[in-house]
Amino acid sequence: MKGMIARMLLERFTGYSKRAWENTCRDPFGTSITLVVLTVCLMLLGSSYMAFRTGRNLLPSWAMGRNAVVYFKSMTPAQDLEVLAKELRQRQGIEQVIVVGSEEAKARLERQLGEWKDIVASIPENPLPPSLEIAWGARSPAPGDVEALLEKVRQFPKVEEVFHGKSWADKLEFFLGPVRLLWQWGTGLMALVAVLTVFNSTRLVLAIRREELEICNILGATPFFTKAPLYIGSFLLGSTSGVLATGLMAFVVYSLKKTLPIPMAAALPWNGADVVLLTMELVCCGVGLSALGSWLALKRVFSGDGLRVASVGDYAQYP
Amino acid sequence: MASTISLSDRRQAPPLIQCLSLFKSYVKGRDVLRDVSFEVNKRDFIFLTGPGGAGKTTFLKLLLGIEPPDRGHILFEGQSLQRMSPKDIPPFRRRTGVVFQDLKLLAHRTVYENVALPLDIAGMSGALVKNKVLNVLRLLGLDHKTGSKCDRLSTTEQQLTAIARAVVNDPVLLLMDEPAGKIDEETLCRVIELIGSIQVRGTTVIVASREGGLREHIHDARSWTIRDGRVLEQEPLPQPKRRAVPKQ
Repeated sequence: MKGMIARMLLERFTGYSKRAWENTCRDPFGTSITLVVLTVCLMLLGSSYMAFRTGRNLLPSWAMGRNAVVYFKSMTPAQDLEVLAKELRQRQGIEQVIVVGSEEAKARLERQLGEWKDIVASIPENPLPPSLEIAWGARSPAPGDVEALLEKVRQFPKVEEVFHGKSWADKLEFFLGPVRLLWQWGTGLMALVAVLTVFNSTRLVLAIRREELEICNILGATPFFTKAPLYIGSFLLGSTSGVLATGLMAFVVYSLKKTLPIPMAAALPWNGADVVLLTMELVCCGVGLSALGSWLALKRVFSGDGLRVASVGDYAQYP
Repeated sequence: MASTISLSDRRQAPPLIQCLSLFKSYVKGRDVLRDVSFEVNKRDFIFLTGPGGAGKTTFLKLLLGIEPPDRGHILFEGQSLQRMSPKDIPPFRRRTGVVFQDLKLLAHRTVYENVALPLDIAGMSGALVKNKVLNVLRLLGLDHKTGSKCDRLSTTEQQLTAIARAVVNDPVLLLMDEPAGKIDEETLCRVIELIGSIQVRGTTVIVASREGGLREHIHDARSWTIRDGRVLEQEPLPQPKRRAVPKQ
């Protein structure tokens, strides 16, 4: 009994899928346009995801940048670093001062570079200077006091450079704010365009198959019988554009990885888990947008009541 | 069991269709149907004749629920078509077979696909669909055209395909608009035999035709004429030319 039901359901699904495929093939131009618009929209969404993931990869170094790093001249003895570290630890508002020797800095860089760590290993001499990492406490001093303290640190003998990341992070955030906003609006607009394209494409399919739908209705087809192939079609369209967008993004990422400087390239996410996540995200978004467009188009057609619901007149409004 | 019901038993059973004071007009002041009331019983065979434009097609559309009447009620098995909920309309139409005057075939589909459409809509399994479709096509002599596209068929073959599609799911009610208009005498006999056989299985048949020629072939048929918007019942013919209903 269960087998029979399963076979019947499979037969129905096959029938609906066949009609969905026919719908897709009947209007190749409309289908292509919809596919392109959906793919572009999904690529925009995907690039947001990539930016988010890259940001997360870079975040540890940014978070550190919100504190301060004092770089010493190469070959500075460890005692000199300890002298300054001891003095700084006594200051109020400073929670932690970490001494990072040249070897430790090299090990950290290797960890950060991941698959490219051999590049560092191949350098005969360690070019990285020793440094002090200063972390402010929960009640950090006022910005003016921090700047004054760092100015004093700069005067310390053998200090090469003081990097106070907060100012850089603030500048970056000031720049990133409008970019993020523009990105969000652009993605939203593209999503709307994608939904409208699917909406029109579905209406076009309904117009092309008007006669067939009319006959099916007279023969007793339920609205589900009419709608199911269109929803399956939108599912196909959405998932295809999701896969296409992932493929195109993979191409872009690999190209970027080849051209970008190594530390940035290393931060670009593209391991197996990222590919799976991105594909799932884009396919789901594609299917969602496509289904929304189809649903809106079909809602207009099947909005009658009583006898009108399944009558010839329902399709008369379409040219 | 339905095939053993005698004519007198049928008359006692509740009517399949009841029409109460139907009015229908497309132009104000010019009624196509005016105060039409009638009853159709199960397994009735009704010929509806009248000149072109008399309202025969409108009458069939009202019975199918494609057009709503301006006034009056149509009851199918006691249920008002106008008051049917949207979800009840498709099941009602699946129990009805219809042959339109313009056939309404899917031109780019094959004969098999066209005839199988009502069964696909009803959700029948592939094997059963195949069996039923091939059976009805064989009865109508169309089995050699199974894979032909409908736009490549002759008018007779198209007419037969439309008839096959209407009868393939053993409907309770069969509505036919000018079914014999495009077919020759020999083919007509096959059609009449087929209609007769499904009538025996319990189907009520209503045939609308300009000419009353087809009526002469059917035994025990009621004959109605549409004139000036009214449906008038005629006396039954004394001697049918041929008994379409096979002996049991």
